[in-house]
Amino acid sequence: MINCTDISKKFRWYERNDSLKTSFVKFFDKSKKIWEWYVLKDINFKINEGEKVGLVGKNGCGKSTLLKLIAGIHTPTSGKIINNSRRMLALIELGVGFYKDLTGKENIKLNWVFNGLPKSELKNKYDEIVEFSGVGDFLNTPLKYYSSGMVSRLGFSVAIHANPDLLIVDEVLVVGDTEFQQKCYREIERLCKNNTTLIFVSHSESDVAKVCKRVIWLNDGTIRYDGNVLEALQLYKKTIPENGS
Amino acid sequence: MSYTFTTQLSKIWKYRELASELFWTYLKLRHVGSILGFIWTLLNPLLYILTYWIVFSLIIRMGLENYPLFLIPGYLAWNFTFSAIINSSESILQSKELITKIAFPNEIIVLANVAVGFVDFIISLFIFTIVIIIFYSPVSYYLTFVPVIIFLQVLLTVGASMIVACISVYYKDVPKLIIILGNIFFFLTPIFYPLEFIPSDFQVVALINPLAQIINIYHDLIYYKEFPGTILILITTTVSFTVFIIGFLIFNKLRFSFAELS
Repeated sequence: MINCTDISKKFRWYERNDSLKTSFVKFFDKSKKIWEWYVLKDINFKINEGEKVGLVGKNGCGKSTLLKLIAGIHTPTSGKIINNSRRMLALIELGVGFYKDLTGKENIKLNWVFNGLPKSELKNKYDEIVEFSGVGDFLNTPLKYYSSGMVSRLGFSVAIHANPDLLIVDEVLVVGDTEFQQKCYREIERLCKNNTTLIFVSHSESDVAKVCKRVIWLNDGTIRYDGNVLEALQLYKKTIPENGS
Repeated sequence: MSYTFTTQLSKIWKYRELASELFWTYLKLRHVGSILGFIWTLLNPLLYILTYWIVFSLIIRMGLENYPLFLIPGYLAWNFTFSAIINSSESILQSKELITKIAFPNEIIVLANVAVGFVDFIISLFIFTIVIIIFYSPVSYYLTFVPVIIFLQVLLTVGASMIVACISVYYKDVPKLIIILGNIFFFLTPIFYPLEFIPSDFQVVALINPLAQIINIYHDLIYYKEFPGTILILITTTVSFTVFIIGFLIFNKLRFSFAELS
């Protein structure tokens, strides 16, 4: 269960003040410039176990920040997040935590433990991961010789075989070819049958409609709509100007 | 969830497999593409030690018998702590990708970095031990006390590395400053000269640097073959544990902005 109460996230940026040298100069120059802006304001929602939630909204509306807050990468400026999941997996970007000088095999092992999963479980899953990723012949080759598609496939494959109880997916499936995308959706749907909670970000409305039972629409850092998928997508579509208009 | 020091440690403990895997990764990646590979880690201190030996016993005559026995432990100890601090100072910034995209206790990056330096330290110490058994026997039985001091030094190094790693995220020129300060402190710390060479009024100033205390103890145990003063041991123990704990506390306090700043 995830429970977000009144969370806000403020980012700030100090003008060129990231070294001792400049802060020394700024100490005498009082015209310090600080930009602050709220990415998220007073967000309230509750996601129950096993719910499949889609997150939609324009670029820069705070979707990724919200995901990172739930994943624990960012900390909210105010408010409280309760996240009870025991095996959370956040796919913010595919292939993160991979080292290009390590082989595919070594990277699978490293990525597995990066997600906080016990190494002992990898033994049973290893063959499935390799099979799904389809990088078979390249397993003992350093990652720098992989195509970018292969890297993403490997990344997704490790994640999907972790059997998470909470899966967070941030628009990572746009990479890869159509065949791989379909394979990924099949895996996500399979996982969802196992009572996995899913939080899914995508700009493709049809994908959201396919996997989600609930949609949260974010606009300028606040929740515009939270509920029924079709209704949310219809309302959301209205705000996007049609082609040519 | 309220914060306690033990919850922070238990969180890191939960990710111990990541720590060991990352440690091996760093070890492997360090020498990718180099022919001499692991030899480099030994060649570096060896060449420096030879140089200092020549300079301070042949050119500038320090007047210490068995000078290598004095020089080597201090130099190796210094080298471990100083390179761990330098590597850690850049470690968080270099791992930007991981920190902004994966949720895991960031302390592990620093810990794995220090561990890699520790391996070098242990290997060179091992070789050094063989050398002193061959050339400088009989060996004092105080040598058995050395692992305890190594333990204290590790605590100090981890703590200091944590502090420096955090500050470098906020002030990106800190790593450069550390290198300069390190080179200055190398000469101000009794590493290649004994503490007694410093005028007695200033000896206290030299010992403010906790690493100088530790190196002084190594000198007592290995070179002078005597037990260091109890007060010195007590102070060093307290300081090492304090720096260790403060390092973790500061890291925990500042960690929340890493994903935004790095």
